[in-house]
Amino acid sequence: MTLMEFFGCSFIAFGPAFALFIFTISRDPLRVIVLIASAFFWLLALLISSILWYAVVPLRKELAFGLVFSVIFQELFRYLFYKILRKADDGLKKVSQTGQDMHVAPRDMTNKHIMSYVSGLGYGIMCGAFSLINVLADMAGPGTIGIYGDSQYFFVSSAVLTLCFILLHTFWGVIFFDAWDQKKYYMIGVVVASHMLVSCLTLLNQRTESRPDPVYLASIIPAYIVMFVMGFLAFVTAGGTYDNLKRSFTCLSSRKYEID
Amino acid sequence: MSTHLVNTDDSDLVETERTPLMDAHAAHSGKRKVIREDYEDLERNRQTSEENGTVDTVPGNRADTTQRQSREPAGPARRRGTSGEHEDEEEETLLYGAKHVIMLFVPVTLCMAVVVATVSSVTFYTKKTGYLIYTPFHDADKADASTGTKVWQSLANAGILLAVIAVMTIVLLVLYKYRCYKVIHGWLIASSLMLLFLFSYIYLGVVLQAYNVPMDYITVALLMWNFGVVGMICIHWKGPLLLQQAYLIVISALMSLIFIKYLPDWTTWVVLGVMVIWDLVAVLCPKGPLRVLVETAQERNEPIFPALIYSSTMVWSVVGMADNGATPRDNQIVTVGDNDEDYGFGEQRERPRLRPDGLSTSSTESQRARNAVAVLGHGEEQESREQQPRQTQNRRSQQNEEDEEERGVKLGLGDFIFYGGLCFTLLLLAIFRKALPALPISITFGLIFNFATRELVRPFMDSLASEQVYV
Amino acid sequence: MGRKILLFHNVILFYVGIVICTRTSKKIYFDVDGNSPCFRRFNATHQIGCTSEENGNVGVVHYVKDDSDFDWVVNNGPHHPYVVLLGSLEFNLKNVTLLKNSGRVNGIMVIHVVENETLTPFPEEGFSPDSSCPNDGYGLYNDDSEFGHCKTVAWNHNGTNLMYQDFNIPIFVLTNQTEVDFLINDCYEKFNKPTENGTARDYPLCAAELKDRMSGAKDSPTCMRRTNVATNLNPDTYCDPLGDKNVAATIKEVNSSEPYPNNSVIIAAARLDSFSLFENIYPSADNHVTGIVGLLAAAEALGKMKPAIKSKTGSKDILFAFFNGEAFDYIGSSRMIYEMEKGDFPAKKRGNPNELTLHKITLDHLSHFIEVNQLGYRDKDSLWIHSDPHSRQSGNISAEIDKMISTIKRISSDVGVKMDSVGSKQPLPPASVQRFLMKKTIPSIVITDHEGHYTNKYYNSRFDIAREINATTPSSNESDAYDIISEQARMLTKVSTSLAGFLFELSTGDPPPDVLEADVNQVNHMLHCFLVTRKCELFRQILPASDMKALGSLYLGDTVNVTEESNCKKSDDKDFVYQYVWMQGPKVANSTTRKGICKKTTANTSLAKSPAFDITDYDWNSGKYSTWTESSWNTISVRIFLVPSPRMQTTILSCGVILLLLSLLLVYGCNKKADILFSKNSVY
Repeated sequence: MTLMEFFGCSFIAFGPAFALFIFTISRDPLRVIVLIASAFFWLLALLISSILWYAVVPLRKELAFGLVFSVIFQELFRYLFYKILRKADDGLKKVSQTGQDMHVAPRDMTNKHIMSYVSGLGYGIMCGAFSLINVLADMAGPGTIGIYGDSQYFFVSSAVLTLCFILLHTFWGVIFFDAWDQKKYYMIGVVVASHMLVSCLTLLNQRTESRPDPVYLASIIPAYIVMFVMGFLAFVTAGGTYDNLKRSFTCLSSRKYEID
Repeated sequence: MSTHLVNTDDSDLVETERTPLMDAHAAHSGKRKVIREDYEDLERNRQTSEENGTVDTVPGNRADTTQRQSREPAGPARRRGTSGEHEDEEEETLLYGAKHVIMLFVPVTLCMAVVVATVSSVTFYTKKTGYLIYTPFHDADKADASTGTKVWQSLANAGILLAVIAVMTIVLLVLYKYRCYKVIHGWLIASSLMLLFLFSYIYLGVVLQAYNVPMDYITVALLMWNFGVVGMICIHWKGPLLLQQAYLIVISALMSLIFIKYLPDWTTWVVLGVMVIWDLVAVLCPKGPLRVLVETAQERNEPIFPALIYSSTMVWSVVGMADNGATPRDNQIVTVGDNDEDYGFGEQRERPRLRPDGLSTSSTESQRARNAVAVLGHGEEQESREQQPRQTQNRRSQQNEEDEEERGVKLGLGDFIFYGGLCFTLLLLAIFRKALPALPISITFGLIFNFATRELVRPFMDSLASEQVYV
Repeated sequence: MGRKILLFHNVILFYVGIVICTRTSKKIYFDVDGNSPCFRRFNATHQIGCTSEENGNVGVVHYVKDDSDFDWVVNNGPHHPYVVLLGSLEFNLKNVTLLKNSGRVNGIMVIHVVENETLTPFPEEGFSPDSSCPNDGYGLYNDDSEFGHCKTVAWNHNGTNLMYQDFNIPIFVLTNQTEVDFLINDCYEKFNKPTENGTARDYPLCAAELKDRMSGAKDSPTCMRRTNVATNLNPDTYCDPLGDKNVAATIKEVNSSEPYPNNSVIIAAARLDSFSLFENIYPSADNHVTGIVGLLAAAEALGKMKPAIKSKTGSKDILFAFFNGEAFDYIGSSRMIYEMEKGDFPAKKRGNPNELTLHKITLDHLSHFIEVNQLGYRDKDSLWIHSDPHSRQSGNISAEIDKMISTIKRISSDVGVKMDSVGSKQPLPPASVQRFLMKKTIPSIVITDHEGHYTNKYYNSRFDIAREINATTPSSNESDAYDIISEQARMLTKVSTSLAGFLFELSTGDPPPDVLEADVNQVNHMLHCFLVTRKCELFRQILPASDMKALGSLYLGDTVNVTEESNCKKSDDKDFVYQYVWMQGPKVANSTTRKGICKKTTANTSLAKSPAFDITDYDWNSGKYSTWTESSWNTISVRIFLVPSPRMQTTILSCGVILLLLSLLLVYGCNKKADILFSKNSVY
């Protein structure tokens, strides 16, 4: 049985997302709503890209084509969701601020970043789920991959890449929304470009005639580099600084504020 | 965090604790009293008293009958006293709506989990060995059926089913009108008996068989007796809330499974669509049976049978939430159902819940349990509403089961769509501040996505995943 | 769920295309579709056959070719449990018992690619999974001190009794060349084969999952009780009685209003079924397609003589009977006798006396019995006529039997077929007639191809194929192969001609006319359709009907002059004598359209289900009737895949758990410190 592999890969891919969800999302209904709605938007983007992929019959075998348009659609829908979120913002903000009356939340905390983080995570979770769930389902059976010569690291690399994409989407969410708010359009470019870059890098995972064994490191290492860069950018965007980081480690704050 | 109560007396708190989810709209004026400050605390209380679950979501809406009365007069004053601005109500509404949608998630997910787990491990429920008498056309399930056949047969089946439901509803209405309460009670009890004993016995049998577990008849008899009797007590009388919720989930799951087994594949889909329409008609039409029922109950100023009120609740919960903002005094939100009455639609349905005597507070829980009867008594209707999301999911896993290709279950897509649609509706609500029917939106999305996924998204994602390409 | 055994019920199969899908599971699993499992069956006291665990049996594949491989699997190999791949010669009772008893074998796959003689050599010395005394205990000589339990002749001397073992592990045959090649080369050789110096290979190893879970257990009474128990609300069954349909047709078409004297019906019978250890792999070439075709061709020839037989006063009727389920203790024949005794044969009594049916046939009506068994491997180039020594105790009967023998010998030698009678002290071989003789002493002969023990060394086995009886033709082109007359067909045609002549003379008392001759083309077509491919022209012609009844109707029925299928029905509501069978018929010359035929016939099917299952309170241990049932099942599958090393699995799992815990910690911490971490925010 490959159950251990199954659980291992599930934990790797979804462990961090699960932790984020449990501690930062699950207790606030609004965040859950936004999370799910944004995940829903990712699904819409996927639907559109699938339709396109399906419609253009001659290129159905060329995943690169579907991939490029899928990235574009995802970013479009991210923008759409941004718009909708901002439309609903008045309502949400009031709710959220009223909601904060009851527990002493830091007043300077903006809910915009929280909401962009939440929607980014929603995007990521949905993306991760769709990328990996079917693989996971196949993984649970008695067998592992390789009878046709596929790499035995297929599952691990899938899980690792899924994790990367979940986190990337989260960071992109924060950066992207902030970029629109601040009209820092180059940041939008950064997001779209890095998304396109990382996705295209994963094309290297394909097995082809000339490349019977995919070099997973060639896609995973750059993807993680991009992820850390994006993580840093998102951290900065959300107001994180080195000082803050240091402070949070050193100062055992007497104030017990939480995000929520 | 603070745990203080602001402006709330104990009785109010207790009542609010018990406020079931589906009542959000109906209970608004009562809720309104409980202002922001208490919200969190109520939250906590609710959680500790483990009330944030199923019962509320399923048939909902009666538990606060008793509270209504006491609250009603105090409500507006209190509200004005605390928040002072009525716009706030919208946000409250939204927040409550959000809260309640999330509270929906747990039981619905649990129920789906039960159904999916069963369907994917027990072949009994996916094998078509017979059909309901209401669905006489099953050629569509044959492999070589043409699209035309599928369409007309599914429509015909759904039509028949709809007619049956309509007739049942009208019979119920007539019974109610002529105060044949005993008959209605008998009906409800009989159906719950059947579900709790017969269907669960079948379920136990097939599960044991699927997992190859031997069990002697004495054990089975003991199990069944205890399960059934406790269930009857919980549903028709009283019991710990958690237990009631568990029973509701089990019952809903059993119902779903029965429908999965005995409804022809394609009919299930059409039934979903048809039920949406039936809901609209039954609830919104001036002479719609459910509406008449509610009005009758209202005239009599007596509690309505849970089975009857239930059917009008869930679909319009979000509408109701929106309606909450529209008090007679402050009618800025246009309600769908608000026509010639001078009160919002939500309030129309509150009225019946005003009870001169009501049950004692201690028995509110059992009232909620009685709501469970709704699930039974209104089998078909319950199917149409409560089951919709589940069915979406079930059908999916069923197909998976049938199709060797799809051995892996696409976990949670069906319910996700449902949630997604619901959440999306909520967002739209936040934007448009207008009454929007939640369930139709959810189901529409569900249907679209289900078919789109099967034909388009799955092949795309499968080829991506198998090549390890990420988008 | 439960399918029945039985061979020729559905003659024509169609295949549905399979959709291609690129799922990850396609990269993990290699599905072996050309597989056939051994099923579990029950009789009144035992369970036999195979089953897997609920979720299938998984084991590392090992291709066992010689003793060292056996040793590896049974003693040395470190990666047990194994799933053993066996060649056709190695699959015998001794080896299977050895493997099974080692406790280290989780399943067996047997190579059976009949087209490839190098990959699948046929055992020279013969192979039969049946017992050496088939149908012992249910025949005429059960407990007979002289002939019982095959004391005189062990008919099936190659019988290994493999069929009647209870294995408790799954055993499959693999029939597809490509899949077997993949299994050997891409699975075993590539991943599992021990290195030159005899050490085991490292993970990942190639494993196979065999799944054929049988839901029944213990014995027929138990599983029938479970199936029928009132509290079983689940309509699934645990086992189904074996059986199918008998087919019977009469020549004279006597209806219930006409006189039908006793001792006026000759039965000409053949058996329809055989078995092998594996489901659906019963080619049954010699046993019993030769018999079926021989008798059908005789029926066809006699069909043309119907007017002559009918018009002759005092002629006897001929009942062509094809029994099903005979290999499992005479299910079909005992059923027909049971119905004859009840007066329900050939059809159930109808309530309305005005309704015409075929005249009922009881045991009293029977005058002679001719049974045709195997005809394929002729012992000393001759066919052999067997008779029952007990029957000969009565002088009349003995004389009648001798008369039958001399008649058929005379007629056959005219045609050019050698027939000899075996010694009169030799008992009958296993044959349906034994069941009749248990009820009534009828002059009967059994015509078959062996004098003593079976000449068919592959009796009731998967090797009993057309090639072995020379019933195949060299051409690979279907339309040519269909028309080229095979050696066996020529021989069988002569046999059929003699049979037809013999039956004619037995019925009318007149010598057979010269025109009475079996059609060599029909014989050849039938052999081709039954043994080579069922997608043949003859079977197409009888579409949409697709069974023995249709063939019987085609050969024995009268053509009704209608052109529309909807008109092919009886004209009188009260007439239940005839069946009306519509067939799409042969192609019109120079065209692709076909001209439909409507046949009016007495050929009809009747249930071949052991009476044991219909008699209330049947005593299971009485040994009166067959009690065979077959377990129901859910999924049958064979998959090949790799199993990862436990070390790698553990590593991945630990990584996952650590990552999960770390992230839980980190997120919790960050969340607690969020206000500090993101404190300098000024967006809003």
